[in-house]
Amino acid sequence: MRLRLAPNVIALVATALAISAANAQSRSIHVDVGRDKVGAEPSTFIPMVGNWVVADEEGKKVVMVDGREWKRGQPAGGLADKARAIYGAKHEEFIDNVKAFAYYPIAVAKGIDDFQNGEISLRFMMVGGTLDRCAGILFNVKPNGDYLTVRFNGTEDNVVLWTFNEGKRSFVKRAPENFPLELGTWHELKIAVHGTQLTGFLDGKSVLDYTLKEPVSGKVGLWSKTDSMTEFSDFTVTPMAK
Amino acid sequence: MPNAQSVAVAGMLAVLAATPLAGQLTAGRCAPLDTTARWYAKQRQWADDSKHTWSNDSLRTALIHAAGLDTDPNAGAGALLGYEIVGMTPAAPQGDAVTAIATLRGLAQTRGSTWPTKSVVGAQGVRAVWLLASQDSALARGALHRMMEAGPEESPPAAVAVLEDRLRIANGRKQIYATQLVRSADGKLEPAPIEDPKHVDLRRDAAGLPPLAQAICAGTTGMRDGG
Repeated sequence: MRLRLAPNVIALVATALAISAANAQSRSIHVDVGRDKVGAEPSTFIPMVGNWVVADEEGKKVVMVDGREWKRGQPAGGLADKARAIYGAKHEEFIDNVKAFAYYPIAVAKGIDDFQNGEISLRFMMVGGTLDRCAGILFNVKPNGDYLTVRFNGTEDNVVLWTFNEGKRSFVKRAPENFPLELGTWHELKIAVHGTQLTGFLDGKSVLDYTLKEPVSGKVGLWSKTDSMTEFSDFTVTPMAK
Repeated sequence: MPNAQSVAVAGMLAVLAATPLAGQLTAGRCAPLDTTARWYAKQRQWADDSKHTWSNDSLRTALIHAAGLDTDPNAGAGALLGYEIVGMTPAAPQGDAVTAIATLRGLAQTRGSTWPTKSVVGAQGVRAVWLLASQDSALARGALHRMMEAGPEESPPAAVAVLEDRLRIANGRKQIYATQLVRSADGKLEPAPIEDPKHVDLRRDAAGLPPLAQAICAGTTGMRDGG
């Protein structure tokens, strides 16, 4: 016997599904630097390591990590104040770990205190870097300075998930395919987190899947490496309910 | 002509200032060599061997000899101005250079081996490695990887940039620092295809190389004079 639903029942089901979808996908948060001054540190990110400035790219304000003056073990200026601002009393442990990871410039996004589920995306353009040409999404940033990153490295042409734990960087997984991206061209990097399931995307294509040991919970931001000169724009976080 | 000792003390930039190439830049045909420019300061600082802090003096001496820097301190100086002319391949290695290249190739392929960086053989020793790498493409690939891995304190960014461009062009890719020049149909020098030409001088500055226009001028003058 074929089940037939009355039109009002169908409408009710459709409404319920729409509400459910709305709950699952919160509003996206765009971290914008449009009001910032070119040449100054971005006001919407907190640079913890490296030299991060607002740059003008063909009329659009973007965030640039400028590795020209990169030196090994050099945190960003005012690190203690910045760490205190986001981690309060726990900031000293964070500083110790940041110094251990000073090879890797990071900038923490303001106003996103605990990303757990959903998507983080950004656009990046590699400009230069003699040793490295990197762009990464920083996430799961803990008060002690541990974090995860999914990054593209233009000197290796690959996408890799790395963990940074208690002063030690560990390789987790590399996307099987190589992507020789040209300098001076914009690309999109994105991660989707659902519980412990992590997926990495490059230019809309799923390139990396991994099951994390534990669910993600922490701050987010931008990641780079050594002397990379990379521009970032359209940093967007779309939290979703578990 | 400076002797080998003065080369070691004053570093590569002193050599550069003494070469005919630098003369081309200061003779009014190209913009004068700006000794206050950041690229110049960066190269000069990197090339300073005056503190004698390298750990393996015998290896340094052997490398300098194998690369011929003890008899020709100007070898490869044009690359310090940020240009090489594609197709002008160096002479095939001979004598001690063959042995040194084989040793370096072995080191490059052996993970965990001590690569001759600045703290091991000094700036002149690293320059010798770079010159030897220009004579052997397999060594060039390994040397580039090890030099990038070692970082800017241990490997001269300008040499890394020239080496990377050279390998990219050899592999049919676009270069990124515009150090590889070719002759156009009308005989002028111009860069081989470049990725992101808009930011090329930014990258050159970061690597400690002079602006592209200055390098092309130096290369053109050198070519016209048969240099």
